[in-house]
Amino acid sequence: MREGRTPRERLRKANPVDPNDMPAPDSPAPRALLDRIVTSGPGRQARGRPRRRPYVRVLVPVALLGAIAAGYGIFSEVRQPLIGVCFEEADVKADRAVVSVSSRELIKACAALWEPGGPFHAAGAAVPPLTDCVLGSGAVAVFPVLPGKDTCAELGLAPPAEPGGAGDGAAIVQLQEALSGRFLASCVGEEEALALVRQEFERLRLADWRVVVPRPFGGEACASVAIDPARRVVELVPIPPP
Amino acid sequence: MYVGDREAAFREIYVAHYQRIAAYAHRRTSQPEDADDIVAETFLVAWRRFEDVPGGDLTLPWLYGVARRVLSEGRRSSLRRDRLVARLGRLWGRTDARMNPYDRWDDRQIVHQALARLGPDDRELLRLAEWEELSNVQLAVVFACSVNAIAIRLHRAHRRFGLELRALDREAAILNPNVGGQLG
Repeated sequence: MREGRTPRERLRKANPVDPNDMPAPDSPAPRALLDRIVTSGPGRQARGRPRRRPYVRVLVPVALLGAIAAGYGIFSEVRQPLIGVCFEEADVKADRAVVSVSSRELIKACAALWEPGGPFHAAGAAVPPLTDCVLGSGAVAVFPVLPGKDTCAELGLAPPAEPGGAGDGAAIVQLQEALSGRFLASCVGEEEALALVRQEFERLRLADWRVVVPRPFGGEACASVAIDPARRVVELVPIPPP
Repeated sequence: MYVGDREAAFREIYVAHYQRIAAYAHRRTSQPEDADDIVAETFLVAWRRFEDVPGGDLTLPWLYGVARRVLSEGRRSSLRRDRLVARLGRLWGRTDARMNPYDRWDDRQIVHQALARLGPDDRELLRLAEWEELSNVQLAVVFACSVNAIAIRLHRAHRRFGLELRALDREAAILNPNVGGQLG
């Protein structure tokens, strides 16, 4: 037991992970990662300016899969948790990173990527002014502002929450905002959740959307939601009461 | 430096330190996906800033420093997700040691709880010193301070850790007499 052992010895013994238990660097996954990194192009010094594309090729899938798997991993049907996309330039083909926050916090989360240590950071450069737009998929994206221009319009994208509505893209953003705010704030039961979602469909004129409830839902469970723009479905997700 | 030299040198660093960085990331995250993300991001930074990576014994602490920043940036956004996972885990009857640290009062959990009671810098310093086995010189690279300052901070962190551990030993002995805490 602990008799006779110093705190330092006990601390060393409590090390939860032995490096030797980690995959060897020549095993498939680490090798694949290494190959992706070195084939993604040289870094800052060799090319004269920062190259961000390596982040795109490696981190976007990792972050996206991580967010989906960790956030909603046990619900295989769910396709869009609360994630957004940060673009390094005002160009839909520019390097990007996926972050898993509510759209309310998305601009703030994206701004952090330009700060020292972040993937978009360049020495001496400040965080640029940012704006959010809605991608064709319904996901919210953040871009650096094009000076003197309507950035979303220049990119052929809809602005979020445009007064009067700007098609499904903006409506989906409003739906996500309304439902996530309501469902994260307190425990909402199944019946109330159904009513709330249908009410939002009506308010946002999402006539061909439907809400799906998994069975059994659980009488004591609170509802959370997952939005699937591709199927035009909002799925109620049962979570335990706080 | 030729591109080929650069790549070869980077591959050497990757092979030499991959497991240490992976272990570091896994020790500090609850989700394997998050740990993989930290490892990928850390080595991507090293590749992009390869000319900034110090050689010799200082390579590893430099990588730890990057991983530490990557981790702290990702932590905020993962808090909400962790809470949701914890709630889902309870609903579906899953067990997860990180959510139930006191289901067994074994020594490892007492030590981890004592660590959790420390401030973040003390905690990180002790883990890097005892789990990653960094020297004071290497720790000075991670924390960007002098070796003397590290020695003092480490001494104080050990002292605070010892006090917390002793307090927890007493609690454990009271709550679960079978464990037999190290009283005294």
